[in-house]
Amino acid sequence: MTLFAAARVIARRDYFATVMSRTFLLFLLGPLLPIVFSIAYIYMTGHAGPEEPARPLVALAMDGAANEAVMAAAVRIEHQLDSDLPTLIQADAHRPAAALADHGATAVLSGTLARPVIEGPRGSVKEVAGALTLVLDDARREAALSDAGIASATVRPVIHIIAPPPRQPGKSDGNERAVARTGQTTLFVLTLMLANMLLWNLVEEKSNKVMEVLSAAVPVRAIFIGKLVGMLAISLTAVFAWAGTAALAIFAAQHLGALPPDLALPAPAVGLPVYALLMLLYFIASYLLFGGVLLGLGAQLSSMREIQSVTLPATMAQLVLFVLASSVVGHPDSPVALGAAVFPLTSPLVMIARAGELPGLWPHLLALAWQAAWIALIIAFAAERFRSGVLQSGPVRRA
Amino acid sequence: MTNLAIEAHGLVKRFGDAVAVAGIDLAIPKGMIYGILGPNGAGKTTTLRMLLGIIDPDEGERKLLGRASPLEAAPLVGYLPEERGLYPSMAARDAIAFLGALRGLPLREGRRRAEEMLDRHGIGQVAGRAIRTLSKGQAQTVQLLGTIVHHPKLIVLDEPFSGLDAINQGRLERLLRREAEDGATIVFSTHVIAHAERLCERITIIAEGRVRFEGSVESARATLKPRVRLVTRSADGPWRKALPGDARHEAGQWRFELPEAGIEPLLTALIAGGAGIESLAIERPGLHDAFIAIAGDIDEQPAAEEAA
Repeated sequence: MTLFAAARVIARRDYFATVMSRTFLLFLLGPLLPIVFSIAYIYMTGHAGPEEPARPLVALAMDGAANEAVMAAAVRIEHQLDSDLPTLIQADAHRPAAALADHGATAVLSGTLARPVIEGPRGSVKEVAGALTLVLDDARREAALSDAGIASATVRPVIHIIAPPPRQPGKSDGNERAVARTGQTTLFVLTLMLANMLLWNLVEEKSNKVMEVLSAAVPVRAIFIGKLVGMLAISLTAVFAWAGTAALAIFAAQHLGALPPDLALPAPAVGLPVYALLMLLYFIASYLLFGGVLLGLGAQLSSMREIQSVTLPATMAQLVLFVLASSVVGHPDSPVALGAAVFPLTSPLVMIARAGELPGLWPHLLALAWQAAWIALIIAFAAERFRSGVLQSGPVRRA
Repeated sequence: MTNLAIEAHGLVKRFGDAVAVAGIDLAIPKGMIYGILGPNGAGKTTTLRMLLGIIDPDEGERKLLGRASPLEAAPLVGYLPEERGLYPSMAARDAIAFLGALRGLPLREGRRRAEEMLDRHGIGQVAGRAIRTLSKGQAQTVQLLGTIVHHPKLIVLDEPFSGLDAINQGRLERLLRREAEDGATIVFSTHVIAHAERLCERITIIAEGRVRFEGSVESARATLKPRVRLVTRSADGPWRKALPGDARHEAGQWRFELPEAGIEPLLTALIAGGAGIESLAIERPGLHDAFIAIAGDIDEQPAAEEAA
């Protein structure tokens, strides 16, 4: 049996044993629970997201023609501004002060178009005065045009769409930085979670005492590669499950009106499809790099207690590398960014941030080739450590 | 083409300062049941692990079924380690098929054979049950069946009888005999001599990392002289001069090795000396006696091989 055929047997067993277990279902549900609860909440309450603030209510207590002119002006302005104005209702022109109590209005507009009067509590008047002034101006202008026998016509400006001004080389805008940080954080969290899971899985395997059976049948390197690839397949299953659920959640939220139907996601500099592909490739690279190191390390450990003592420092080290990688967001061409892109364990994190901030594919091809070389190197080294450590289980008698 | 299933020359394994195996030679012919005997910590497991390629020797060479790299022979070998290990959540049928798949047997065929074998061994009802729900004996049977599911030419078992009750030990003995009749070479290690005495055609006795004896069970027993057990009516008299110098009187019996001259001169002298022979028995030594004599009275120590 070839090395890869043997690795496939190991990977296949690990994959199905994990994916078909109840533990994996719980693992998947962990990050999904908040999303599911949010959707359930929206559905059950029937609210389309947070409640819109109530529009102020203004009672119109002018004479009949003025009331109509103000109403018409309000409709025109609201349409042009694409923004909400106070809600206007008709009130008794002879009892303007009573309109506040009768209609629960914020303010009352009375008087004439030439001498309008706004009444109401101090805060309320201030809230509506600006909008009402605009509406009254428009109503007066419309009345003047009508008196002069001139048809009303809105003069619309000519609109030219031009490209945004060129950006300074090596600089990104706020949106792209946000994409960079989001991608980097997602990559880090996934790698951290799944690579640590690999470590626990290995120690569990050692406690099952299956390792000797495996190593008698297939090369230890095949066991190492099989475990790494098996866990990668498990990780990708989890990632696709989460991504699919997130897409479903967005779709459901749009359907329920919690999100606008034409929701525009921030655009990465390399474009969304390429960014998604790079995200996948950098995740694989990051997982294999960290997973290889942790698997080699895990082979030297033989108990849950030992692994607990190693997990915290390993997580802290990953956190430090993440902090280093995130410090270069916004400066993708800086010397620190270049150094972090060259260092294999931070390279995927830095490069996914770069994909969010700067266009251009060749640096990514170069980085992926560089990371692939390091993956091969780390796997070769860690597999050797794995071989020497994986069967150790007891004290050595001194001669 | 070699007629040897296993060849080893000068195998040495050290763990730090500890020498687990100090130069072992083995030549195990194909088609026989062969025992590797030794007290705890003798180096049996380390030797088997080196032979199978699980660990590399520091010195020496080994060949498995004529191949210098043991892993090249892996599809033709079945191995049951001393520390049994199966995935607790795996179904018995799948566990057997998985062990076969590790040796190149397609999973589907492995599952089919697993069902058959479990039925044949009277535990067909556990085929779909998780290993963690099986009794210890059932789980050990599952692992043993996984060891032979791919019809190996060489079956290596490390302490296969440990942890089994008498009934399951009998079943295992029958299974090993059947595999040997089908042409497989069986090599197993044990420190329980009775199994080796019943099953093995040839044995190697290892102690302190070295081979102390290699040969047939008969020749091992022949390393010790027959022993005489004598009960006399007379407590003392001239007949005492006929007893060898190393004769010991224990629990009313005289015990000593049969003299070189044989039993007749001894009998004549005892009768003439007025011993009043009540009973006289000549006992052939068993493998157990030979093992004790060959391996020596070695204190149990933590096994260096455990660190292998």
